[in-house]
Amino acid sequence: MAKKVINVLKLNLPAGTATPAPPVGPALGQAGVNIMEFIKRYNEQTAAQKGSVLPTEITVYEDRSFSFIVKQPLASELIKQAAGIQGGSANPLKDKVGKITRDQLRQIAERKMPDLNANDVEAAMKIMAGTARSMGVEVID
Amino acid sequence: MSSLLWIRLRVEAPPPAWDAVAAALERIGCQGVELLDAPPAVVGYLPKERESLVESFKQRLQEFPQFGLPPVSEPEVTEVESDTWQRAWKRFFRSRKIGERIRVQPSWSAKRPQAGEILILLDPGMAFGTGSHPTTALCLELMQQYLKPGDRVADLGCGTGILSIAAVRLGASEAQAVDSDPLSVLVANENTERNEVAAKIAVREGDGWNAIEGSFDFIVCNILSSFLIQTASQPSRFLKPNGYYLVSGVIGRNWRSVARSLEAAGLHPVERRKRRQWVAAIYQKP
Repeated sequence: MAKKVINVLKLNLPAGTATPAPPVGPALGQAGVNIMEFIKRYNEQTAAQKGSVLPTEITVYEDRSFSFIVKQPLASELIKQAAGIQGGSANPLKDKVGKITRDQLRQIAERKMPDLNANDVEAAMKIMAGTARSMGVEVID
Repeated sequence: MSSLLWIRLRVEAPPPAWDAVAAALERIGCQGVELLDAPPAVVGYLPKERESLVESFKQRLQEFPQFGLPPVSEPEVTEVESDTWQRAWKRFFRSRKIGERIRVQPSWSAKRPQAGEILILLDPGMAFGTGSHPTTALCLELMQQYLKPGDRVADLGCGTGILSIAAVRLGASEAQAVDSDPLSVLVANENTERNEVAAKIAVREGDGWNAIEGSFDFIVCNILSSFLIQTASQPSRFLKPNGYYLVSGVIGRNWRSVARSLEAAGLHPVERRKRRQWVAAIYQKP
């Protein structure tokens, strides 16, 4: 019989280098999961993607065992990669730190569609464009 | 372990704005975030001493509508102490028998071992290894089968010290336990004393193979597969002829590259076990 799920946790975590510091500690501690056991598994499984932050969904069962899946990279990660920048702007209204094309924006929106609850690619692109601008990345035609 | 103060920032935001809020939290130094469903919100944490950055974060959130993002709430700011979560999971660590003879039990449990059982008492704190994880359990099982009384043992990535304690209780004459994490060293020392084996176990803070001295009959290494591959030439330097190298902490899909590197280094495969997605194996130096 399938084990009863008591909690599903969603965390965005650095690949290969997660630590017991927050948010991992408080989220997993409250759910009764052994923090170090989770970290060991997560870091082993994501070591190849070191440098990115990955959305991770952790399912906690009644006996406090757990399983997890790693989802598509964050929109902000994909935008940083497309723009070729290390990080977002400290003051995105004034200081622009990079540019992406509408084609790149469309590709990112298509990749993120399953996680976004958007009705169509156009709606997903609007969200992605807003996320890009909030990081100081301009969208150009 | 002393308790640290953290600032918890909780921002109510609809899912389309989550990545932008997360990016703004990352910008002020949060190492990852938690996402909550009801009501939808993003939560990040900052060490208390970086509290001054909260103002610039609030400023970023207020600008969201100007970027075409949905509006989000002001962050709710609370202080939390680290020890509240460090202790939270302990109530789920229970007495457990592993393999034929070993029973691992929380130090606060009153349960008595059955006749013939080797009892290991542990208080894991924030270190790795309670025996409930397959990587540790597989090591304990294989040690019960291959470790001989009188063996000299090295334990790389010792965590709580569970494997060194088990080695001595299984008859090893001495063990050198190494971990790069100072906290694990502290926890391992407490556990060796708790189990009255401290005289036979030297716990050291150090970088894997560089921290052990002498030659060994049995070396156990429960770290990540990348470490096993990078240091594949080391076991032969430290093992006596016919000595065993027990590797663990390898996820199934990484197994082949670990096996290839160990065999290329001249070690002979003896036995391999798999549990869930984890693989552990024993190799022997000719």
